[in-house]
Amino acid sequence: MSKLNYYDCGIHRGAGAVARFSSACIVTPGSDNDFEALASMFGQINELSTSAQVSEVIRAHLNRLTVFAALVVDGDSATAFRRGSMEIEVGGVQLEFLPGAEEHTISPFIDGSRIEIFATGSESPGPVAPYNLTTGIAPGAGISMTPAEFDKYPTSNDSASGVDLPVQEAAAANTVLAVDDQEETDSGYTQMVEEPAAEQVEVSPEQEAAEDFHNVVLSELPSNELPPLAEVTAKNAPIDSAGFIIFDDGMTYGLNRSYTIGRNPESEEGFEPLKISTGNETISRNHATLTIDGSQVSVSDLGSTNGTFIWNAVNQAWNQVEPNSTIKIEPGTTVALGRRAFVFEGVDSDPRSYQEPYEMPIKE
Amino acid sequence: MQKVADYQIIEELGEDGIFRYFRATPPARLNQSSSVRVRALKRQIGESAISRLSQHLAVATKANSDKVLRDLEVIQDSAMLAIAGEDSNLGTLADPAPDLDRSDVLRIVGEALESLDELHSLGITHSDIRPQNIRLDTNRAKLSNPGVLHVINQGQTLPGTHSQIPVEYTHPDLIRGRLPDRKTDLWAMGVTLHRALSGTSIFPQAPTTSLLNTLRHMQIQGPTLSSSLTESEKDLVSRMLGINGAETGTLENLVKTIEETAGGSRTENDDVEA
Repeated sequence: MSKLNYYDCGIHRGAGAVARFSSACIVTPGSDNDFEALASMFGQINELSTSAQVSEVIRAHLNRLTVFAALVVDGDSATAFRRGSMEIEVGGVQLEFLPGAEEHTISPFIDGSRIEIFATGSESPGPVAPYNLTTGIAPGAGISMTPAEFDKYPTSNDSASGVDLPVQEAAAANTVLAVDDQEETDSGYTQMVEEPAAEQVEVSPEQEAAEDFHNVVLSELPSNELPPLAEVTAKNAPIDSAGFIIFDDGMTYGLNRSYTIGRNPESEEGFEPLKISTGNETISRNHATLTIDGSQVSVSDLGSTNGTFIWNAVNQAWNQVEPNSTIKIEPGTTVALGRRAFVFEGVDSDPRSYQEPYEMPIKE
Repeated sequence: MQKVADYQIIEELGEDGIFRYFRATPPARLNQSSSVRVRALKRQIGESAISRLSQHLAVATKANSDKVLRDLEVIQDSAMLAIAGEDSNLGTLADPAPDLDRSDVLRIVGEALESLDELHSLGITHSDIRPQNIRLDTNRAKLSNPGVLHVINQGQTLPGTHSQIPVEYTHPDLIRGRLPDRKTDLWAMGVTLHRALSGTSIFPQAPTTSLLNTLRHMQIQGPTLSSSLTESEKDLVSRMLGINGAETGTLENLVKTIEETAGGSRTENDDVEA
């Protein structure tokens, strides 16, 4: 992979910092306290060649930053980083970081997704959103840096992209960032984008239809592919389920089927992919399977990086599931995958109180 | 003005664990004079899930528009997926524009049952019946927003703690993976009627300390109907929930019973006012 197409590293005096790479964008309103860490991080990133390396450098600098946000795209997934009062939206959907988490994995990440990164702060009500990788940086952010210090670090060493972003005051309107090098379109079909009223123009229905989105008119789809409800109902009863599993964030899955659980699990015959996100990278792409055989439920680890663990309530300790081995679990069992956990609840479980919070096997 | 695809947003209407909701002006290409409702999925889904979703929703568009508010389009705009559907002008059973008395509530739920019958006759379930999805129009109540969670992520039965939807609308069997069917839709309608009449849950004793404990309670304990319901109302709710030995009967018969109960309720109200 060639060097990241680095064409702006905007550590600008009194303006915060914005950097845009071919597969990453980084935004920080900054703080004087963050200066050294930012300068170090940007300097290192400039020497890197892969998205994974960029993520590693960001990860290594995170605890030295107070206000920061970044999104790094790596193939069909992306990693968002956040510190302080920053919000990140992907495709109009605000990323929900787990409490205390500084990373959020987006998988699959749809190439070309529009990214908005903005600050929320008590000084300015609502989203500030002054950061635009195309037009520059709005004032008011603030990492102080002397010109001499600025010169110590590269700011635009690669002009191959033909873009050398000027520092200028952005419009106060909400702005949109793109994570790749594609030119922003002027379609206007950016989700939740503020459009300046003065720039509104009449658009014909034909022009509208040609804009950059894909719509499926439901009434034009064939709709004869569902069996009659009576047939569905007949197949559906009595229910054949071993119970349900409930994750630490409340996501609940019925155990009338087996699952492959992971960050982006592959489909396998007889196993439904069950995708879970995590605030960091502790979940493997294919992490574990949950196999249902009648009322029996078993867990297998698929050789995951961070392991699969079963909580031993008697010993008050986590027991690791050996890679590629299978462990039968009883109702009420808590299973941890990286830093996520679920509880298996059987059909006829005895009522019991929820266990006290325990320490996860994988720590921050 | 904000946009979702080529829909001009008029106002944001809130969110739950799955969608953000908007009222919007539709694009001219739809030839739709009134506003529409747009629900934007809060997470990204893959192509196969989008295809399943579109097929699922397409069936419901065949429903009689006098009884069901129909979805119009599934829109993919960059990474965002949104569904645009018909709007109504008098709010929802959860947040009605007009003041409702007991007979109004019964009438509205009766009309929603007719809507449900229409959907079931097409071979599909609604699978997300709750007061917010019973919309009030000038002429009658209509069901809207067919559930999609089980279509998007097969096997998933609850969206998570960020959901603002009480779990009582979800039949206990659904939580364990049963597919939505007539029985589970009627359960949700019964919970809706109970909630609208009494303002309380059918699981008033359910612990609220954690979702898991709530679900455990639901799996083990049966519903408890509010003492504020009349005997005939209790009988109706019991029939919909399929509890207390009550025979559900046909939807047509349920609608007839609910109309009779509404009539009785109206008479009682009139007596009180007199």
